[in-house]
Amino acid sequence: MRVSMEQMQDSSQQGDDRRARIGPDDVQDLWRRHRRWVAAVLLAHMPEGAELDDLLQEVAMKLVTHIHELRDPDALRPWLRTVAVNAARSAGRRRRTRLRRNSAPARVEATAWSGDEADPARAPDAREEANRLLALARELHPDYAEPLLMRCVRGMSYRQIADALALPVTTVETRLARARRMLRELTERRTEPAAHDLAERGA
Amino acid sequence: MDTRRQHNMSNIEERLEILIGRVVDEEASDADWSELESLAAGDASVWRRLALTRREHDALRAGFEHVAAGADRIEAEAPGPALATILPLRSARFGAWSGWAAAAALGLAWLGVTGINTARQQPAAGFDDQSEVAAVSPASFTADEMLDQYMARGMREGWVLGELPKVMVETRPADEGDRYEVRFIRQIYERAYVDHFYEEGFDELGETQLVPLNISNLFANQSL
Repeated sequence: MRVSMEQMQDSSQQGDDRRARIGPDDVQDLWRRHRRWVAAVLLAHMPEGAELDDLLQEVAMKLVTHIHELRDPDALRPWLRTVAVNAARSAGRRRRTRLRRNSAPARVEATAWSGDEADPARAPDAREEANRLLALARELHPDYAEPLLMRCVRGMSYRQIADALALPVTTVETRLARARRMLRELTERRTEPAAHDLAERGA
Repeated sequence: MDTRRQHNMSNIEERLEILIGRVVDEEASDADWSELESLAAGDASVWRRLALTRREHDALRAGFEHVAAGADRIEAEAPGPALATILPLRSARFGAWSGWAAAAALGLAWLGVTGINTARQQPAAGFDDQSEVAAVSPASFTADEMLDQYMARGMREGWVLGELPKVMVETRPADEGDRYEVRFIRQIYERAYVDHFYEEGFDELGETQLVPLNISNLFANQSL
């Protein structure tokens, strides 16, 4: 008998019995439901140059092999987030080691948005702004980048973000507000010199 | 401006940012809307800030969704079809073991089964000479012997640098007998010399294509 993760998360009372009946398809369903926000966590924590797909694969493998160790089904989100944060930090350590060994590492960026295939009318300016904002958001401290990127996952509420981060909802709201302010300030700092250059060239 | 007034303004500002955030994130209640409207009654720029925040949020979401769309390609594949039945069984059987004792026992089993990595790097006895290899049908080799040949030749020719420690993926009781099944990944550390690097890019139609990468520029930038 297959057990959905909603059922699994309903109560932790019968967690052991239910875990025993979670099949590979359930793990797959579980992963599909959570992988987008896991990507947000990884993007907030992973070092520049790391491959998002590789880290997602690492987290997925951990989920498959360790889900049975989760004693409290309600702790799924924080557990998955911890796995993702650890994967991102390990990537950072690996990258630092590689940098020490090799002074000329290949630089690989996360694939940026280069066009909207479904809507050719979308202006290049829009995708440039999208890529620029995402890059700037990733420059924020992870405490702020993480909720901000998680909020970009459709349907992810303040409550769900708070659960994953193990924080009160009010703290998540405050961090989101500050993250947005910091992002705007960062954007202004980056665009002001360019505007200044243009003005000087015009003069 | 005295300190208390500054503090009050700072609180109002933070409250306004939270209210704008709730509206943009579709989490605002009727009370939040009323509060926002009353703040906007005294400062019309509130609506402009709301519009700007919404625009930035939409743009950020578009950027995120494109990058995170790659997540949809990543599946959580179970290591084996029997995972669902084996994992609870394993938990039950090893439940009484303390963590370190189980780890130590599995570690010993690990060494016993796989040997030590450095031994693997030596070519199998009797198969070092390529002329001998050529004279023997591949069908007469075991898989280990063929891998030994691969390693030996690779190391001799310089494209195999060694074997990294094996990565244990899963251990579980074997289906038959009082043994254990150990699943692991073997990693061979190799090198290759290439003339060109390519990165994934997109053409004007949005199709994926490989774009040559000027590696000397790349390295020059990295060394700055």
